[in-house]
Amino acid sequence: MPSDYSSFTNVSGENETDATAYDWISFNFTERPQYYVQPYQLGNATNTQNGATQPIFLIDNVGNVNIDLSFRFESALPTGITVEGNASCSGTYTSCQSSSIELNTSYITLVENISYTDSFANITLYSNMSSEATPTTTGITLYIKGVES
Amino acid sequence: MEHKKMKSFLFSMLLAVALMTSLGFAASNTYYAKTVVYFNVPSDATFSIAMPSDYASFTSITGTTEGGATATDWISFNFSDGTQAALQEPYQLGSAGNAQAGATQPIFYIDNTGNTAEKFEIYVDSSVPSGISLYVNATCGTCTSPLTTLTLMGVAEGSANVLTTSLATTDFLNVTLYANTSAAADGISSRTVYLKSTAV
Repeated sequence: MPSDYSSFTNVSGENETDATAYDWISFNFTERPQYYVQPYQLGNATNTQNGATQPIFLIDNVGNVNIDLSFRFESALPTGITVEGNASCSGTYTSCQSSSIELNTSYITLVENISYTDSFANITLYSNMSSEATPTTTGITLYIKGVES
Repeated sequence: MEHKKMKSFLFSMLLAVALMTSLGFAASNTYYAKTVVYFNVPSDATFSIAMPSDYASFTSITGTTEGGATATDWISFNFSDGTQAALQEPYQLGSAGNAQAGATQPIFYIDNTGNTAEKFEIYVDSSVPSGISLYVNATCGTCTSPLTTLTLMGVAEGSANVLTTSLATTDFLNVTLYANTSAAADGISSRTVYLKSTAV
């Protein structure tokens, strides 16, 4: 994550219940409406995502098989708020979702068949807030699933 | 000796198979990570104002300080006598065709365009000229504690009149002003009236 791209959290959870937790992130809106807001790691503005050059998640496939990476929210987002995700990849892979796609409560695959050798995925998230949004501080769990291709 | 070596090799093989089987069960073809994503949406107490010339054309209020207050059209009380006890209603931009006519045609028609209920206050920046009294009242659909009683306008923010303690985002506020005179000196003078919203 942005605070240190050389310190990786090893993901060992094999189901959603046991999913490996890592740092929380936040979208801090300042006006209404507001579009394409980038997240902070641990609420710290100095550890903010900055597009693909400083993605919120840098993912390394440390297994011994190629994997797909998909994302979903545990529950619906607050009214007036959407989150879009996209990805850029290095190394060997079949596809990488370069254009933003809206995330929801079903798994959306952003990366397909990324190799376990010298291949990385940069995941970037953006959030939009329409005028319908009401004042809130709401936390919703985002799951990342890596599954053998 | 040969027999011993064979047994040892067999044990190693068995151990290796046992270890491989164990690792096979420990590994998975699916892994999950999770984080909590917080969405922080601040309160927004914006509002807009329409005036008698056109109640469908609203001015969006973006000023967040008194110094940066959004200006709306000027209004005037055009007295015909230095002592005029009857309450007078203001004109928008000095035009009699755009006069206030009670709550049905208020001088300020306020729409809560924010994302939260809002408290509204009104005040004048400094005392009005001697012999002139400036009053205010307000009506609304379902707001809380509207200032329905005609009340002398407070001077400065610290003495502001509360027009309503809570106007929902779906509601509107009608603000009406009145003034009369008692032995007021002739002349033209002006004051600034402020409307203030606060998220509640």
